[in-house]
Amino acid sequence: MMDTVIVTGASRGIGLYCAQQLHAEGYRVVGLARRFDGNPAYEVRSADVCDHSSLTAALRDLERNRSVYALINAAGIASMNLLLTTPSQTIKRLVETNLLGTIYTSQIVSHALVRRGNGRIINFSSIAVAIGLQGESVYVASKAGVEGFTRAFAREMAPHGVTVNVIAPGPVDTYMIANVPSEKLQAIVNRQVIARKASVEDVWQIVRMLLSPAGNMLSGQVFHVCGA
Amino acid sequence: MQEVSEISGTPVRDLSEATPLIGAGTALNSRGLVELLVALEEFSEEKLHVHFDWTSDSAMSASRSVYRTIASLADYIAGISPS
Repeated sequence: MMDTVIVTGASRGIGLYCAQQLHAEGYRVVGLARRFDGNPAYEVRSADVCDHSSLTAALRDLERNRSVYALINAAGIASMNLLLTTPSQTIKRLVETNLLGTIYTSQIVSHALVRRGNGRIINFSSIAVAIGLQGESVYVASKAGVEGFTRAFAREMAPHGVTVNVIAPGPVDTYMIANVPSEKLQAIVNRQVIARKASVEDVWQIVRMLLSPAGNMLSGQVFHVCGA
Repeated sequence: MQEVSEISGTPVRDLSEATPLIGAGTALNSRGLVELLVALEEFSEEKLHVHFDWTSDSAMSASRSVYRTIASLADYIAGISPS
């Protein structure tokens, strides 16, 4: 039976790249996003991770499907702004997408994973949490929430053979940082242990490792791609 | 009671309707509780044709949870069953 991997945020950035690589490696990929451009080679479904009912409807047929092996929670948004100048609706959207979206999808997909008796959940945070990045306080709050959720949820899922981890990269060349000034990005990169900008391929290699047997005994961990 | 016995490995004779499913003296560990909920969800939908929603704000409350004893869970399932 072909293993199924569910990827949120599969229409762009890290989620898109992971979905493409997983498909190329022979997994059945179910990509979730609010909308998709083009015609991806893997299965796509429209869902908003902020909306529990939308996710439940999109994943209903997979809830008891024992082929579901992994969930990659790659949906995320950022907003480079001071808290004092961030509209309340943006604050809400950041927390709903980054934190609640991760929690909602994890809860729904875990119904399949506990039935299977093993599996993987991979969440995404950012170096911004580790360094307390100025101008990203709401984003940092949402991602710090993801890290805390992951550590605790890893313990809840361990008896079911499911590992839960977080990948926290430094700046990666995707749509998310397209409008961030280069000198600002370089200042962040300079604070990393490995002072170069990571590629989506660098991130994918950690995802791949966590999905492989090498990840069997890794859970509740935050993996700082680039070091922090 | 049979399902709890099979999941927990506790003989049926050592279980009763008052056997706790959560908290002190529970017959089930957290994995066992989830296994029971999975079994109940499938039973409810396949045999009773009703949706069994696991979630509840009082799920882990020793005084209010429907999971507090075998009897309280059985009552809950009976309550959502079509008459």
